[in-house]
Amino acid sequence: MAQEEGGGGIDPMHQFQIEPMFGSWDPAGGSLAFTNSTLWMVFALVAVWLFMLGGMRRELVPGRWQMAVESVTGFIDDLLARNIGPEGKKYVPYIFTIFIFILFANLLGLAPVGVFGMHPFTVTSHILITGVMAIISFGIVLVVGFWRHKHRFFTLFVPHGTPLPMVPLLFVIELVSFLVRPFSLALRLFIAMTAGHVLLKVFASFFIQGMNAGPEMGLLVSLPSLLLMLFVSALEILICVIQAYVFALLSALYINDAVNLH
Amino acid sequence: MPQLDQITISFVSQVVPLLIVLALIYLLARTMLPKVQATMDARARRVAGDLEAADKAHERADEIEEDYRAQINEARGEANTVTVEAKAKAASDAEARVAASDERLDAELAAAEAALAKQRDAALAEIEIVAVDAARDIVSRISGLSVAETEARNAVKEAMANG
Repeated sequence: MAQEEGGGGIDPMHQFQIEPMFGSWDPAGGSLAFTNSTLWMVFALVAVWLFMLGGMRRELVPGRWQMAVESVTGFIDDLLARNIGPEGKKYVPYIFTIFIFILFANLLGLAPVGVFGMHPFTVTSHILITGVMAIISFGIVLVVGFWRHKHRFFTLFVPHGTPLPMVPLLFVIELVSFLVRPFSLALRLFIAMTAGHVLLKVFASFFIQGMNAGPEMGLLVSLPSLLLMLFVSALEILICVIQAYVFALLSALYINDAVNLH
Repeated sequence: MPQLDQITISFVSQVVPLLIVLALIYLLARTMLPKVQATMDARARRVAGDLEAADKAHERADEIEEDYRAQINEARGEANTVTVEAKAKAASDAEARVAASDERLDAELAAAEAALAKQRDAALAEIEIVAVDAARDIVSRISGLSVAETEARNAVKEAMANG
């Protein structure tokens, strides 16, 4: 990163910088400011709202938009029905919220608004955001698990048919793997988003530096960089969807553990 | 890495809006998802209902077709019997008329034959008379004898009987 900064003055990490748009940072922390992150969260909210409005037409023969909304809701409904069963219906709004927010935040982070001089910000590229969402999912698992099964929830950590001497060891292993879940959930999304955007920025800086270094370098460096950027952009769109799906799917699977034990 | 460097300074500024936005989306989901689901369910029900109605209509069509077939068969059978009857009646009528005509023709034929026979007898009798006269005449001319009328008649009869 430091080389990048020294080279062309393009810092691929700068895109993750949170800047207050109104108000200012209290250096000690704890200040509540309207930042670029907040702005893009609001964009995601508005986009989700507009998207959902399309599903409110409630026509017998759906148009494309209504069809899109219905396929997304049907997809989440199906996901929960398959992984949790009939009781999964209760968790549809939560899983839908997580899925659609991550999906829209991811996709908006790739929006080519740079053309108009704006800087897109990927809300989900911050560990704080993904961490809070992972903690919410994990919290639901704990609350539902202990509320439904009381102390029997601990049997989740002892698989069926374990020989008695192995129980303490397996209990510890299962407990650790259970406690790691929120971290893996948060890190997966955060790293996927961060890595993709860094990659795009690195290729973009190669492109610009190649152009600045003259026509030969432009042909040699900038053209391949541009082609790679095209490819990586397409890949990133795919990853946006996959990561939203993975987060929703894993949350559903974890909730399934809490609802049905084993 | 700003994600880690800014954790403390931006903690509240990130977490509070995130929770608000998630809560709002959750509210959206709570209010809108059931409606979307209801629309989908209503559509599924409608499609199922329509399919059922179509099935029923199909069954009804089959029934109607069967009825139609049965009726057609019945009508055909009836028509057949009527035709057969008509044919038989026509045949018997024709036969009766032919028989009547035959009878009439036979009677006419018999009458004609009788008349013919009578006329022939009359003609023969006349020929006999003429022949007797002629015979007497011829005998008297040739031999100058007069033959009795009865004798001449006998002779003529004999000759005519011989052909």
